[in-house]
Amino acid sequence: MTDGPRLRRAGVLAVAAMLAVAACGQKSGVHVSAGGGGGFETGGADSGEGGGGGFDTGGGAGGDAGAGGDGGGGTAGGSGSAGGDGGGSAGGDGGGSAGGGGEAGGGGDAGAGGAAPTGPAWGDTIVVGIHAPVSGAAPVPGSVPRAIQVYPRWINSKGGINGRQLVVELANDEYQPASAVQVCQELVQRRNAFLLFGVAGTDQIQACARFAESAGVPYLSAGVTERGLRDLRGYFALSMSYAQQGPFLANFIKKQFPDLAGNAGMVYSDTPNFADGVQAFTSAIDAKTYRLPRVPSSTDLANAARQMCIDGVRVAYPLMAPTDWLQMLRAVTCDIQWSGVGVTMGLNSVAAVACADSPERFDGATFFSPFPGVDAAPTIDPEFAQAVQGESWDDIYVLAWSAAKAIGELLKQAGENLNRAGFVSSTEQVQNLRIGMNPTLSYSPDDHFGAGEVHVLQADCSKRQYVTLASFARF
Amino acid sequence: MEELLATVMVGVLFGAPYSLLALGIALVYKGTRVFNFAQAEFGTVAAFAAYLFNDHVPIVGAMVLGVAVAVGMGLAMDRLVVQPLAGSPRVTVLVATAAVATGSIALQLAIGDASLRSYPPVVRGNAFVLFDVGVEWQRLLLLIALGGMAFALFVFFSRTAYGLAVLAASQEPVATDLVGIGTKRMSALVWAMAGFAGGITGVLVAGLAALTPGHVTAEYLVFAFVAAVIGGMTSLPGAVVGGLVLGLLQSFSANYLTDIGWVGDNVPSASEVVVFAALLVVLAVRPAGLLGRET
Repeated sequence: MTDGPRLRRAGVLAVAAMLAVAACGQKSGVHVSAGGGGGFETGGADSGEGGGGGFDTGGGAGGDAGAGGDGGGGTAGGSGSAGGDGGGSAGGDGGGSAGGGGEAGGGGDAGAGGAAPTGPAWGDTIVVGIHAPVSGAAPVPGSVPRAIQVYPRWINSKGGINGRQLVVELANDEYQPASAVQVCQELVQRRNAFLLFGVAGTDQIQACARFAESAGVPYLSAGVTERGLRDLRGYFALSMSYAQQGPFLANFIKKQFPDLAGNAGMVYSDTPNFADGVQAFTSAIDAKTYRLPRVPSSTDLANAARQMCIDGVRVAYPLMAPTDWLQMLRAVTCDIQWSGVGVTMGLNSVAAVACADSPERFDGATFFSPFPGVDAAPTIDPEFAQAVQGESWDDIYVLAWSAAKAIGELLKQAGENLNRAGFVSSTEQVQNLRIGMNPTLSYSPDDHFGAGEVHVLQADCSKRQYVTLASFARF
Repeated sequence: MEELLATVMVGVLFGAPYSLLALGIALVYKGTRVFNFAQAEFGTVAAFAAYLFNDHVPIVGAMVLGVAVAVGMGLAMDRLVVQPLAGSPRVTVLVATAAVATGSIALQLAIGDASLRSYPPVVRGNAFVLFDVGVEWQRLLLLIALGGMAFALFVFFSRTAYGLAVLAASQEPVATDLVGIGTKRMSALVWAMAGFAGGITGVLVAGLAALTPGHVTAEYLVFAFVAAVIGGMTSLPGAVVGGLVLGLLQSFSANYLTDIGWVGDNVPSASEVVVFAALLVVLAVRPAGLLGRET
């Protein structure tokens, strides 16, 4: 008898705890401010939310660099950020995964404006840390671990990058910003990543890029949001951002679907990181908008789908997690031509599910993508065809090869005296660089969103995959 | 009016999976006084098993086999986790069930991978479209399964000696043993039934979206627990009502609340906030839940 109230209280507590966990888990870290950098400071001026900076390549911001931290792999240090107290972080056992040098500390050797970046060269192995949603709301297929090894194997067999061997390390960010920061920290501190690459997931890429900035580590990804990334010195987008693609997509829709363009719509998840993408698209075309929670429930999706049909939307741009969009696809009861942008939306794993679930609503859907479809990839880059010869490969191989080859070329251009600041500086000088399948890149010190082309994929349910409608296209 | 009816219809259709899972949660709590955090994993495991069996047998047969696997998982859980911890504090058993859930998800990731998988529904497409809402066959099947399960459990607990024995074993285990009813057998029966409820939920909801590891846990567990608590943890009718109320709350808030300017601009996931606000209100006003009493 006396157990009753006690049990009830225990029950309430258990539920409350569970709800707290759920609430934290599902929405965690959307606004993660990087900071920290875990165990070392990179010095440099406080750049607001992001913390340190650490990419001063001369002419720098001063600042009281280097608290030394714990060495932790010694990858920090900001390679000689200007003036100030110099010092840099102590660097522990030096950077570089293969010993030798690292770029830690060095302290205050820049100073003069515009000087070439200096600092000890990286060791004889370059580690690229990759984070991807191996699980979560937008999981990338299981071929990722194999796919990311193709380019390193190929380039290493040809002598590596300026004599250095390329190594890639993969970590699962679970499609959660907080997890992304955690795994990126681990990639830098424990696995000595020279730079980081984000495969997919806007919130995760943004969160991890801001951590990377605070740790003085270059960060590259496919173009997603520009929010919180445009001010980062060490971030480079390898393809067009959502904001850049917005007007392209609007023009594409007007050109490709002229009869439907007058009834355009956009349905998107409510994350601040989509705001610039939404703004860019809706400024370029008159479109009704449908806002969903960041993690929409089934009822949210069903209601939005219903409303779109009632409003007479004929062509719609979905900006959300693919699993949510697949649910929405099933819920619509009218004919809608789907046309959008994104990395994961253009994966064949999404096409396969959509073709199986809702072929009549999905067939013909078009998406801009940073990489071409499997039908065009071997033709566009014959070296890719050679590298995967005899192997069973999919579009993840194309994605991984395309990005890795671009990164490899950027690393090559950084020269033999490789260090992080030098990499950032040399990448900022890149002009009209087309590498394999990656869109042509042109960066400058003021603009790290240097792509201006897209590949266009179209769903073909007879093949249960996307086929390439256009490559290196501008609209 | 049409808008209102459409909202109600969406709420009932989308609340059914919550009710089905909540039934399993309430059943275990009613029968063994254990909070079962692995209830949704019965569903995911059943769905994955059915997905694999479907390579060899038609989907309906694969679903039956999937549910059988879930029942086996329930029995194994009783034998390997619950029984050995019988004398332990309840929180220990609770944590153990959570460990089973996370272990199960990790195993799914290890055996397969996290790719999206297309799981075929029993019948593809919409049964009908009403008020601009497409009612999928699969969702109708979920409603039918919910009705069938609720009716079967009602008969079981109110008309059979086994039902009475389960209640006796949970409330007075020593006396129950003394009169010759094996409490361990009753516990096994409850866990098998919970596995069945979870399995049915899993093989049906998997046809509604792409299947991924931990799918049912990620999508439904929290809401099913809320539904069970709102309904009253020991009340099976309460679990059914709780799930449907939850679906309606979500549907109404998604359709009406987010249209209110300030809410739409400042409350992300308003439809979820409303659910948890309702839970707090129920716990404050009626801690035993809407229909919470021992039956």
